[in-house]
Amino acid sequence: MRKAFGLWTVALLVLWSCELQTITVKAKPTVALPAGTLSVEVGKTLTDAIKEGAGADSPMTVSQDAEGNIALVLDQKILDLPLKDVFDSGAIDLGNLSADIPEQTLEIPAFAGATVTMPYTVNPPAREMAPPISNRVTLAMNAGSGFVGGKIQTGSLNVVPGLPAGTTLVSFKITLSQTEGGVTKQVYTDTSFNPNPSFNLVGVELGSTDITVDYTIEVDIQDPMAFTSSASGSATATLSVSSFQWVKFSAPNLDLSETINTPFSADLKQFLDQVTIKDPAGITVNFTNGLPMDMTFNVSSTILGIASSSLTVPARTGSGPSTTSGNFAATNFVIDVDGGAGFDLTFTVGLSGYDAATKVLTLNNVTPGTTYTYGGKVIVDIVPVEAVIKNLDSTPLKGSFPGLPVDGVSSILPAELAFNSIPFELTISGLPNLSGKLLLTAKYKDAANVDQTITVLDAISGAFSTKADGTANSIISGNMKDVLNLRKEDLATGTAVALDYELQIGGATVPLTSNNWNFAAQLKLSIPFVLDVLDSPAAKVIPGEIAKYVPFKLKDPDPLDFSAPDKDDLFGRKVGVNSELDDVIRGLTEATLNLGSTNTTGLGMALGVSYGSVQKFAVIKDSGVSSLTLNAAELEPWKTVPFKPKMELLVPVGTMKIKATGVLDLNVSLQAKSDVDLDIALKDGAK
Amino acid sequence: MKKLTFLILLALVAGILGADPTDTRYNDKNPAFFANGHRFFLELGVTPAEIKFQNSYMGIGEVIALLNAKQLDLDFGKIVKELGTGGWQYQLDADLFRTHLALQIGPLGLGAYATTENFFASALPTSLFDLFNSGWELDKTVSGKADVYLQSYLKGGLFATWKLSRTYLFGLFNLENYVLGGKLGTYAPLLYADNASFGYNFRAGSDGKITFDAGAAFPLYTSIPVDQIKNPDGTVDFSRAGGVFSNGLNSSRGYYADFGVAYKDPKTGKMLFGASLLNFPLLPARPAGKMAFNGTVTAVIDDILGNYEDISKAITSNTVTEVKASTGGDKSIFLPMTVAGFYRLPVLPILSVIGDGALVLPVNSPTQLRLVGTGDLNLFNVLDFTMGLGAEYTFGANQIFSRYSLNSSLGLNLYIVEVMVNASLTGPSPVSLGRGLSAGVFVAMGF
Repeated sequence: MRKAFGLWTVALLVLWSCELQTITVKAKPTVALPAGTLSVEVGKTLTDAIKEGAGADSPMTVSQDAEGNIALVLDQKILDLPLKDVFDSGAIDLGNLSADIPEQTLEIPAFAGATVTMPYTVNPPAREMAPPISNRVTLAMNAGSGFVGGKIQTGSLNVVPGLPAGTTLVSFKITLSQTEGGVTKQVYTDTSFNPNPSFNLVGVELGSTDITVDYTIEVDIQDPMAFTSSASGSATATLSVSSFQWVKFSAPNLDLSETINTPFSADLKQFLDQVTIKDPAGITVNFTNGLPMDMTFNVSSTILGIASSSLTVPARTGSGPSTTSGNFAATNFVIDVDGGAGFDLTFTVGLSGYDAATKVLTLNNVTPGTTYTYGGKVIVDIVPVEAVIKNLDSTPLKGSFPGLPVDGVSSILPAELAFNSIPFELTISGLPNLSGKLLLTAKYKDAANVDQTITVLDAISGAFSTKADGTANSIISGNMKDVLNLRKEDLATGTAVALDYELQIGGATVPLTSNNWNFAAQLKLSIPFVLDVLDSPAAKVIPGEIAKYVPFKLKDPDPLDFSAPDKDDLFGRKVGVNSELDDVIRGLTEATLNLGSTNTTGLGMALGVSYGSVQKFAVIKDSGVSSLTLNAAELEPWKTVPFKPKMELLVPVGTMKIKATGVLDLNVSLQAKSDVDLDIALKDGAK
Repeated sequence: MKKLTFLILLALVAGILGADPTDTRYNDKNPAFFANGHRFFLELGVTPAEIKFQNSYMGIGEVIALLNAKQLDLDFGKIVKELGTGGWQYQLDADLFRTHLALQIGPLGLGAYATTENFFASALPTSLFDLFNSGWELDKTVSGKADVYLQSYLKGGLFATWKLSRTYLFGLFNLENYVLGGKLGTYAPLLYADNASFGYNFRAGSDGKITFDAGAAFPLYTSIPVDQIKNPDGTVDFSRAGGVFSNGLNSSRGYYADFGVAYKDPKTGKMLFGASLLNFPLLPARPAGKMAFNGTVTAVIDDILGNYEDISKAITSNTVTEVKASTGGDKSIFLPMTVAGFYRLPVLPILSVIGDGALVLPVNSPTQLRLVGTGDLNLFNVLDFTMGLGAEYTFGANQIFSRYSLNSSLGLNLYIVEVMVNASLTGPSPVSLGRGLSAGVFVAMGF
């Protein structure tokens, strides 16, 4: 049934069974063969090539300029003075930040209701007195947060035996212990024969953890003959504390003492003359003291002109906490960086019973259930206003961009292409309101290993001035092209080009804000990848085009180059190998190659095809279709195997810029008229 | 000598009975023809095969010559010109083992018959050849479609004829010498393609993608219960069909009736005119098996530029040819219901011209129109030679399949045994006869 489906099948059967050796096909179709869309990220490809040429560790990166063209970028921090670090240290942030001490409550635990039940079982004995019964329970402390420990002045542990019927208490022995930090400490024990179980805890030092209670009870059975089965008893122990001799609390936020003594660095002294801070300035203390002892704040600073002075906040009174405010005012508002030793500030807090090392506060003679509160603010108010930058004409900032891979970058360019002398972009940031000069000098060893220099920017061409925001952004004409056009053969083997810079800036008074404490200057050179496309003997004249075009190889190896002997021809044919394609090509009478293009590279391009006396060009349009038509005579060489035309990508003579994100989208199709007279061999040897 | 005398006498007797294209072997045109047999009482007629094949481009001679040729020329320009708009059509009709047993008792005729009818027609659209001949444009889809007809039945049943004596219809019209005929038959589809077509699409897009797909996918119904003989992968093991065929046949078959009337000239004993209604449905066949035929070829060339280094990566193709068991709704299949008629124009006592025509009504079948003109030369009722011209049209959804024919038949009737062969040259147009042929043999015996 399937074989009956379709005359083709029938025909194939006939062909199969008969002696047919050849099918001759005749037709004259005009066919359109789309080859698809080829998207070449020209900008990215070139960028990658430059990066590869420059090497992975190059200080020269590839980016784009303001117009989006590919640009070579040198970007380096040339000055980094963290001024804020000088005025800032430790926990107190002098950048107008406050040491805020939230109100804290210290509560002496009352231990009210701290009760534990101690069960036991009395078994029928062989005689009147039952054997001692031992057991262990835990008494929860619930001491509250911050409580470290205390020594009991008045207190006891009272036990109710809870005896089963038919028994009387003989003795109750007890041992109390606590485990803190993995160490178990026995805090109380009474193992004497104690028929009256109330234990006096005077002088016992309790920690904050739960208490382990080990107890032993001994009872007398009144009528052993009648006590025939086991009976349960349940003793109850209640902790009672009336007063502590002392109590310790953790109070880390009371560790307010600070000593700052930071010398001005050599860099800072080289760069800055002085810094002015806002008047008034100083330290303000506002504190509420609910503790049973006085607090004393002491402040002194030589550079701020604060003589050593103190402020006492009295202890609580019977009516409650006392509140005191005070200010330690600065008297010196101009900080001499150049002549000064550094920034100093001493801030201490005196509080009896407070151990700054352990940050533990000890209170004496306190009653359980009593609460103490304290809290407040320490406000440091130092605001920078302006800084005076020294004149650095004679002591310029110096540095270098070492190891510039200019030879690697230039190696990707054919001889007809060279860097243009187009001005490059200089960007300086972090240096407000000043004028200066940037000197740039390239240094390298030539092929004879002789030191050479190229002055890129001198005192005249490198002059700049910065704006109030600290930036300078200017287009500078310098001789960068001679540096970039250095090729491998111009340099001594294994050497690289270094670009040294000197930044000469005049003195200036620079306003500061609290957000701009740091002096950090950045030098950035953005060199547009602008090339001169030079006329050369290889340049082509394209009919209808004013400019000549020269070959431009985008990739190596060039995918358009078929010249290698081992490479198949344009149509993938091999010499000596018959291909059906030969017959198809033989039938072509006219062929038109259509190049639909969208070109956002900013670069004019053309495709050139030449073989024998045939030389054809298609100029690639920014948007549109270019055609390249070949007549029968021009198609004649196609029939020869191998057919290896010279295909070239061409760029116009002139200035060449390439958009960093530029893409060339090519939509390629071939429209061919043919007169097919094709012999298809069905059996070997037939033709 | 005695034998020769016997044969001559027998031939004379046979001549009295007559021998012409309206006799029993053509009972598929009109059941009344059963009353026009060449034997008095009993006739067993057998047509082992009657096959018609035609294509619309190559002459049969060319096809035969191709068997010994070493070269085949495919001139697509010529092919397109020759094919016109109808495409490269091919038709195959094969009626296999058509037989009947007829008993004639006075005016009453009774008997039984059986046959298989097989019809296949399809085409390759002309546009497909024009694609090679004229080419194509970018971004324009070229497509074509052709009908696929595949209808194959097994038929059989009983018939009866009655030659009317003087009887007046409505008291006015004398029905004497009219023969009424009827068949009551059963049938079962062997293969039946439903709503089938072959098509292709070609597009060369400017996005670089060239796509070509061609083929056909349609359900096939059969009386073979394919569910019982399918392999785990769904394919059908036809080698086991014989074991389940009879069960499927019983559950699949439908019933139909043919009605016919013809006027028999009492002087010549020949049928002069008549009409018939054929394949009148009584109960549709409900095939026990359903299959899915899928024969498709897909080829895609995509992004040649992107695969320039290895063009083969740009090319993908896929060919599927399979018949798998399928499930689906209960399908009712009817035989092609047909109205037919004929008229005989006596020219000479030994020569008459017969025109007949048939119209297959569009009831679950392509509409067909058949017109045949036949000249019948009958010599002593021993040698019967007919020549005819025929035209046949099958009106498909996408094509009109046409078949013009030059028919001839030659029969030798020795009363007890009769042999007749017929052959035709056919073609898609009157001027292209020879692109198809048909042939058949009829053998009858009886007394």
